[in-house]
Amino acid sequence: MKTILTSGIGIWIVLFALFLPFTYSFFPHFGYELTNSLSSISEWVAKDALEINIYSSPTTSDSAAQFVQAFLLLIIAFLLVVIARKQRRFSEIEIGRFLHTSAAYILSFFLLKYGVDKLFQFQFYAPEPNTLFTPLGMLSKDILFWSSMGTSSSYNTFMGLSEIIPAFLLLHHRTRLLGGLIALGVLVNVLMINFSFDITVKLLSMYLVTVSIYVISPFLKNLYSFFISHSESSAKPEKRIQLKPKVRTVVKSIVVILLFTEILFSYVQVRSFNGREMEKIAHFGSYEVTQADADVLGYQNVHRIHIHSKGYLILEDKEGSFVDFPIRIAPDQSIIVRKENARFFVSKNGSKAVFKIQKDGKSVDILTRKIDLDALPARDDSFHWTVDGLIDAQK
Amino acid sequence: MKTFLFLSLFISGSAFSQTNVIAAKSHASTQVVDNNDLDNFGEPGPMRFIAEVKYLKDDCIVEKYNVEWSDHDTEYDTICDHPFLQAGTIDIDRIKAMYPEETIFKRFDKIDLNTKKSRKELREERKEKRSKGSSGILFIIIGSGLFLIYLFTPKMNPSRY
Repeated sequence: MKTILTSGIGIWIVLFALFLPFTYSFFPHFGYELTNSLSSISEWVAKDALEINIYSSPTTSDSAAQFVQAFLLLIIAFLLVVIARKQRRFSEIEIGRFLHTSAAYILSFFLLKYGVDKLFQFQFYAPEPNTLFTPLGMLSKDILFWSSMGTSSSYNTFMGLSEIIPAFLLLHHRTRLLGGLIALGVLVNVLMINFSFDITVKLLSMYLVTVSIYVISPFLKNLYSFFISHSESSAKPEKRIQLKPKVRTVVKSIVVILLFTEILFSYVQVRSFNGREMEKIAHFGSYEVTQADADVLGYQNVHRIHIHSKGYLILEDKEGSFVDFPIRIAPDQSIIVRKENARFFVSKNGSKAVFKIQKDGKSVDILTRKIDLDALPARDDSFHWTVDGLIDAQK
Repeated sequence: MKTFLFLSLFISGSAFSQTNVIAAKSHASTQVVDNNDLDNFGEPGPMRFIAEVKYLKDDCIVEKYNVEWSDHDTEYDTICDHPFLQAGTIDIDRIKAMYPEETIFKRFDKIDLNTKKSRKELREERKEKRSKGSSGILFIIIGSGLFLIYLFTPKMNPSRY
């Protein structure tokens, strides 16, 4: 029974990783292909059998169909175990070793991926211009958490390293237990953040905690002996795949090189290893309208115009309401708002900026003042040892 | 300046992405989940890279991007009314200076010729690229291989099992 459970969970871990519709930089998008191949079944189960309203596809993180897919994969995993046991073609010991090593490498990959993104300051970005001008009470806790994390580069570095270190330890069989224990601690914290701040990466974080427990599970007796009973440690279980040393070195080298290529590929492509230093879209920032009753694209009393780094023009009115428009930047640096069939020509003189808006053959000028976002307290990433130093800095 | 122009043009898409719920909230979208935002489990999402700029006709160019995404691994953007392709202001060097060094420039030597087939060529390129991007075939091959290995692996002696 124990073997069936261990093998079933091990196979599920591998299947889940294969079916995860993750956006890889170097690897092919097999997760998308596989998820799409199961989508009709998982959507049918969610919609018709469980009567859940479906608004998003199974490729979306934490969609109902993705939860159903995870459950379907669990059933498939246990079916495979039952069939394999009946067939008796493979050694359960060897399969167990293979699944354990695979789980350690999968865990290592995700920790490295997320850790490196934090270390290079790509995951939690500095708050966007419109977020900086949204009152705190108007932000939901997920974007609030994301924005708070984005205000501190040092904490991102720390979190990144706390994920990278166990990832390296997991790659070597001698340090795998230590790596698994640190990973479990880190990932339980991530899981609780995602649950407590209602961030839609709950399924993946639950999966990663399960993988950590799976990696540690063969050593539970040793841990009990060491921490609780203080008796002589039990024999350490051998979970290493039995291969000739040369073959092992070659296989391991190939796998590790592939993992690192995937992790670093996108940074090499953009030639940036610091997300905060990457230059932004043209006209990025916030502009305060300096004329009365500004009418922009049919929206009246516009107070500020924000240009979002991901290519959005956001209008904020005097009552604090926001409206967004996807934009593209033309070769002449003008802003194209395709949805409204409008074009904004921006001319700047010091902090003054004029938005010349062309729409339906008409042209309107909006006078603005560019706001220095770096002068805002939320953009201040400084550190002070003492209260005196803090007061000094505020003077 | 060159770098700035390049980045301002090409990062606009998606240098940073997160869950699509947070992404939608970050640009004050009125929708809970905005279809323009791509979800990547809290990770930075796909990035767009300029690969090629092709002269189309008159004052139009076509930019070809490589995108890290399964369904849209290649994107095209046609830009007409280009400021450096207007009568009297044609300046190919200034156009090229706006792009990174690795960018491939096509058909700029034929700037005065009619290029009626260009749209057809583009369609063919897209088609070719899509067929290349299919990893489904790869999986069928790997899956079939594993199945054959399973089929031909001899059953183990029960005492050793």
